[in-house]
Amino acid sequence: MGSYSLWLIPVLPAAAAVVSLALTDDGHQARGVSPAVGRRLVSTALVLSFALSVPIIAEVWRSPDVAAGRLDVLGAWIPKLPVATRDATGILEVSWALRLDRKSAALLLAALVSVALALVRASRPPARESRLLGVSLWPYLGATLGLLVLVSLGHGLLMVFAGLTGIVALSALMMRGSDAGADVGAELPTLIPVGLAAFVLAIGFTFVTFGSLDIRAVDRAAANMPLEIARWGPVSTITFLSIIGLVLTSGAFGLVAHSARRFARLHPTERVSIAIALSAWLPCVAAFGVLWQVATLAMRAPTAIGVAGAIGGLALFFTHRLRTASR
Amino acid sequence: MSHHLSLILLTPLVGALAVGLWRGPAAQRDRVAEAFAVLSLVVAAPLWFTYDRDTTSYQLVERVQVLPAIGLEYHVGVDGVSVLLVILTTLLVAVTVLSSRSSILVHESRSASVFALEFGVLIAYLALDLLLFLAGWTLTLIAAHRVCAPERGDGASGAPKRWGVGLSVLSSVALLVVVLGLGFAHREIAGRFSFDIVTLQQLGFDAGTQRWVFLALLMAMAACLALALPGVVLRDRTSTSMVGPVLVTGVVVKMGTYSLIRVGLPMLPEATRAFLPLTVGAGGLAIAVTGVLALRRREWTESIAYASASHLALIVVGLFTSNPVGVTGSALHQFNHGVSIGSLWLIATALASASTSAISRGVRALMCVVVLGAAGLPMLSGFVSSFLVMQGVLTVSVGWAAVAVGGLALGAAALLRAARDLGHGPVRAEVFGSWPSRDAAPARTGWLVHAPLVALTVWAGVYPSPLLARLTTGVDRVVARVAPEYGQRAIAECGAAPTPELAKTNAAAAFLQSVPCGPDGKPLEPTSTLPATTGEPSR
Repeated sequence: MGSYSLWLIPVLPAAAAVVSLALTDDGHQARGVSPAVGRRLVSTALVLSFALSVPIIAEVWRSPDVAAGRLDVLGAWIPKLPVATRDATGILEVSWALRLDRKSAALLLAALVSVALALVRASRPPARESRLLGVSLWPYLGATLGLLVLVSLGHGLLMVFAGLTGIVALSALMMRGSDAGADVGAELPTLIPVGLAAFVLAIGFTFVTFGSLDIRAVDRAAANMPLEIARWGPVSTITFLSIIGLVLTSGAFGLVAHSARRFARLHPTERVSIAIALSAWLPCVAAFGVLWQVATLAMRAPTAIGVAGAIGGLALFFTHRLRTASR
Repeated sequence: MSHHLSLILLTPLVGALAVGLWRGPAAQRDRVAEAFAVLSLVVAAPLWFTYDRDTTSYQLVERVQVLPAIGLEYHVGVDGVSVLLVILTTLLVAVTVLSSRSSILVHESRSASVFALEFGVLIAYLALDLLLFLAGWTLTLIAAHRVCAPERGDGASGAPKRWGVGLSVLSSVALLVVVLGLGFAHREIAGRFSFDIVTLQQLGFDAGTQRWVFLALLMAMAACLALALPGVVLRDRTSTSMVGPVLVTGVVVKMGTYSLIRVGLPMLPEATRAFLPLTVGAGGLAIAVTGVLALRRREWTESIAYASASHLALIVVGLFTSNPVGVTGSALHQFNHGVSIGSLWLIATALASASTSAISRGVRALMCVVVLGAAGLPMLSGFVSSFLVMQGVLTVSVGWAAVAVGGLALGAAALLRAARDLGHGPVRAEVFGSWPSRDAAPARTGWLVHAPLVALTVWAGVYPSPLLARLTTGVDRVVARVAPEYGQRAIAECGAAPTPELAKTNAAAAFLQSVPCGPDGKPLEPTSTLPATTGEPSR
């Protein structure tokens, strides 16, 4: 396996995105570099990131013992703090750490594929129709690849949340190139924070219940949890909140895509943004998947009703607001 | 004895006198003001490095008896919380003065008031004597009133002005009641007056005294925080700058929340616990209401003011949780809120005085980062502190945690809307409403102005450990008084298997990754607390 740090995979494209955004000439900077240079910078970083990822993924699939996991810790994000949990005082501690095992390698592969498809789409001429969005698209792709890697390989739930938030926020900011996109984009800033609030509450409950935000530790604990504790109470709340959170964040982009007529009127870069935002679903579902599996049938019924209600309400809200906007 | 703290206090005082008494050309006076603003920051900055994170008592203490008969002393010192707030204050004053060019310094009395305000706030943060604290508090509110006053006589409507004066008077009078109440309570116990904060933090007042003093303190704090509401802070619709909002919301109202850390929680622990459901509930409700108002407003300035008020309520709620994670998050959020709200006002000034399309994309991207940071997005300043507070509230009340997080989300929605406008300029004129005045002197809009606050926003979001490390001992002192059961910092270092006792009482304990245990791996006694903090000043 490559001896280099896993952190190179997300940091390279993200750093290139920042540099490109800062230096590219948008008509106001007398000494900015041309958009073509910015594109080349980001695309080189993306290719490098792909090149670093492929041997790692291949190695994980060849060597089952690697599934035990590799952990690359960059440093502390939140240092140790005592927090009351359900039964005692747990320790809230979050590190900037990426983990590698079979599951996360598969998620990384999915992230790479989705960004590669977006790259192919972005390289076609229509993406350059709007100068503003054309200039922003490449930094966006670089930044979102970094964030997708963070969501896929993140060691803790808080890192998954950080990556998801970054992706949906950047994608919402990209929804401004067409009239249809502007209509949709105007609603996203309202929906996304509410969804993120539900998601972060789910993470808070997870810590209070299990005393940890480490995905592996939570998975282990949830899998062994006695039914009388799992069936009702915190686990059902976590499941409900996390699903609602996902629906209201990246799911909102899905509703936009679902409306075929509106989707056809979107700018190509906006379609790319929607696709990237939707691809953030997969690692989030994987992060909470075990908790969802723990849910028994008794718990699933109210959760399903709540989720269906939330989706229905969201659809109604969207339809109403978009109709109002189109008048 | 080090005189560093006296030097920090002296610099803005001299600045106020120099600018107020200046009789030369206005342009030169502005340069003098800028020089003193930067000097204050330069003098205060070494605190960051000299502060010893492992010492539990107050540091750099200076103590001189002034009127022993009534217990009046010049007694100053710092802990980690005040270190951050002192640096924040001097930084915001420097950035505000430098970024506003001559627009804020139209009148010499106003520019002198900026330094008087800085002087008053620094006294409040450094005071270890309640009378000194009260003096700093009152001076700050008077100076803030002058800083926010209309530049032209016909500019402000009467009602908001009266509200501002009324809230300031109410706040100062309520704090006077607190100070006198604690002084008399000390006399009942020790037979003499004392307003020494270190001494008062170690005494146990009777429950009745604690309750009425606590209510008076709540009133003082609430009146101080209310100054940040848009009806008060945006009262001058003819203003040519946002120096008032920056300093009031970024600096002045922090005195209110700081009073809880310095006075409320450590001196009145029983009352804090008794009123906990009420205070956390009221705070949660305030977060939700201000969040809704932020989202409903279309003008940026009002949205920013309400979103800011929402975060101030979050700080208060975090402190009242009385647990380490909530208090730590709250103390950190005071710093983060100051950075983000100060930046937001500066951005609004810059955009109002120059069309957005004239601002380069790089600078607009920096502005976006600040707005997203204020909205609480991860990897930017507001997130870690908000998350810690939320985690603290969750352990107290699940329902209020949900209400508070929902309110914050609505405030964040308002800011995300602004970020979206900003990222795809030009910004529509109507988002500014009627304020600030279009006659404003052009604010500096280059990246150099925004870079320091943006750098802080990113740093505090990605690597908050140095900030949190400085807060530890100050927070421990407060928590050890109000919630001794949490005074078990040592357990955070353990992370051993569940104790047999815990596993017996609840099956879920088997899944906890970390449970109470001492550094030696043995279960910690339930009554264990922090090593007693003597509170004795380092002489």
